[in-house]
Amino acid sequence: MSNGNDPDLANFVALSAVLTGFSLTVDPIDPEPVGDEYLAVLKNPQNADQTVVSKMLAAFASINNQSPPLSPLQLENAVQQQILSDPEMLPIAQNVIRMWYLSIWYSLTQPQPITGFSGGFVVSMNAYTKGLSWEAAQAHPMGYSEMHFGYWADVPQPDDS
Amino acid sequence: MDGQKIYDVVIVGAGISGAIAAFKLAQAGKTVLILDGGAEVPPNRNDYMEKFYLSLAKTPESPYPDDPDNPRPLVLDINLDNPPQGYFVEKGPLPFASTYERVAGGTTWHWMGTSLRLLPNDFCTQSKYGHGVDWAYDYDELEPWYGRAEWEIGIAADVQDQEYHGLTFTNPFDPSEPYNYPMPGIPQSYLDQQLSQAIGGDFVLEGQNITVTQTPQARNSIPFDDRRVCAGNTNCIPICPIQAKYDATVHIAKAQNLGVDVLYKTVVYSLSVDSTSGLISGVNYKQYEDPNGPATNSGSVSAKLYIMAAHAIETPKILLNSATNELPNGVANSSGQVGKNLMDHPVQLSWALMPTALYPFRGPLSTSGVENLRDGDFRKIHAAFRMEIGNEGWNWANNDPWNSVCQFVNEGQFGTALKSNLNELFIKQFRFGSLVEQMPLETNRIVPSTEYFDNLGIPRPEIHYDLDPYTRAGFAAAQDAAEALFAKMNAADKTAPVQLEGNPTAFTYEGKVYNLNGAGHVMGTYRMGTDSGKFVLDPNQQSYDHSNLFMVGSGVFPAVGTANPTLTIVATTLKTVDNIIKNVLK
Repeated sequence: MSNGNDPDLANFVALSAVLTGFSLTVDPIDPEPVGDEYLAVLKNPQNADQTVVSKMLAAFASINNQSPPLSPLQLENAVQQQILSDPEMLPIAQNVIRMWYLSIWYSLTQPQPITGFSGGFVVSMNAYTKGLSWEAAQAHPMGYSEMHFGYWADVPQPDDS
Repeated sequence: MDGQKIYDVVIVGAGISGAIAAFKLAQAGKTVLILDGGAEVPPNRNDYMEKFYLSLAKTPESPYPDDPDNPRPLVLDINLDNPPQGYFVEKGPLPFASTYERVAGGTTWHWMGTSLRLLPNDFCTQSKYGHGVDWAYDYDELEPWYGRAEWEIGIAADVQDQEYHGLTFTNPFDPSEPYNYPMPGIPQSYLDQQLSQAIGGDFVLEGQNITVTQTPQARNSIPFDDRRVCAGNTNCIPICPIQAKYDATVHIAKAQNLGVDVLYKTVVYSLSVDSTSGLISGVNYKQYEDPNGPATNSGSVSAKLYIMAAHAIETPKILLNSATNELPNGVANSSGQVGKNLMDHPVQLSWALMPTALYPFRGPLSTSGVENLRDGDFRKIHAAFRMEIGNEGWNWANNDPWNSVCQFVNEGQFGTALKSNLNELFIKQFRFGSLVEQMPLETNRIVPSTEYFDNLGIPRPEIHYDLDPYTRAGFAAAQDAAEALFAKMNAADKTAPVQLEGNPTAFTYEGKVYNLNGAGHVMGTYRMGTDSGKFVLDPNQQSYDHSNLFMVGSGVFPAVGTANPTLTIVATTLKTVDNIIKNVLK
């Protein structure tokens, strides 16, 4: 179940939604919420500089808590201007995007640029089954299908997972 | 084991050929022992799936254990590094680019499942086209065994789609009835259908009208043999999560149910020969408990008859490692051909973007291919090739989605634009992987290394490998065919140019640079034929040198055509074991 104890969770997931372009929410009944796992990875000092992580989360909190709230496009622009333009926050923000899409935390201390062959770790089995890159492809994670025989003969249906 | 029961048959290797041989022998009432270097077949595949899910690189070997006492080559180690980082000691000039698995069940854990028959002309390329080596028999002689093989492991296909290039299908169980595959064909993917439409009905290459043909697969399209139907996990390589794809643990279980004994964690390293009779007198092995630890036991076992089924690298390694003063060239090697004529199907990979959506990453990894260029008069000039159509987008070609996601992110893309651009890219990706027929060369060979040993002190395989000009010409023709098809389909060719510098798998042909990929096919190293001076085995797959020694697997192939080898492995194994039962062990 989602860890309601981390006050940063909702903010982190909302930031991730803007970064990834996906509508991500904290689902209260998801038995294995990947947002919790990703936040724990991000908040591990071995994985990222926590001063910068805190700065990034705080920056988004102030972007996201305006009144009236920003539109999705305005949110993207604000994130671009205030987070992605910051040379310290950019690499971490980009790694958050990769983590949601690929279920991998790539090491930020290795030679850049980070490619699909770079070092890192798969966050968890659960995270692998929820990678967003497969959704972006309108498919499913390779090795994890909830589909039925023959589905591949047709185009993806709206309710395919 | 010394002093214990004498089995009718001892089989070295619990892969598809060993397991099926054991099962058939047990069905005929023979006592059988299989020795395998791997651990016992796990009760379920959960641990393999976990290792797979958590692997950074989703290679064919990624689900399976890395056991120093039972090592195998890794795709990540295909290079010419000296000293070698991987299991193979690659001496070049090109690295041998294919791998295999040594867990019980063998490489069928991670094969694609493609189950094609060799074509009639594949059995006689020397007499028909002036290239390669003829088999000792023709397609018609092996044909009933193909039908039996298809029913033994369970192939999904429809005969009316498969009657090309002279292929005929007879019913081995009742020749008066027409033949049917055991399961209806796996539906072609939407991607296949789109490519087929784009190619159209009258596009000709090298004198052949190009069509997109459904692939016969060892994959359930109906519940079969207590296994589930395919759910399109798109993960056949490296592992089917639900065993809808056949793997040889099916036959290990069937064999054990009939009383076949299996000794796991038992690594065979040599055979002994009785100097008086010339017969094999025993199989010598080391055993281990902890796969990282030392040998915990060693011993030997004897039988009336021995079958080598350790695949085409380990079998010759064992035979050559058995050299003594009396047999300086090793066991079963008066021809000098053991370990030689190592062949793969070198794979030419081309990839592109269609102008319209294909929706890859769905369904089995491959459901169709272009089979038209597997035969034809052009085989007088260049090697034939089979164009496999991938359903996995640029996963093999470009390590997608990982590489493209990282690339777009590095470019500064994020948010809705990133998602949209990735979608636009992924849904139009496809690739051809052309399996090229390789010619046998004596210089392409495996020998036991004298420099490098595994954790049990057994020599690692030293491999010498190259591509002959005829095969290179076929490789070039395959790339030309892919480019011609891309142009016909209005697809944008995105195949990366190949750099010669610093790329161990790069090679040239007529001034152009190509990149060698392996198909995972390992063949030819204990070939069968009618001439004992040039072949290791007679047409019954019996050693010319030791009448109580037989060998099965793709190492027996004198020529490889363009068909994925597994179905031919099963057909030749069934034929061989039938002869053993009827004429040798009667």
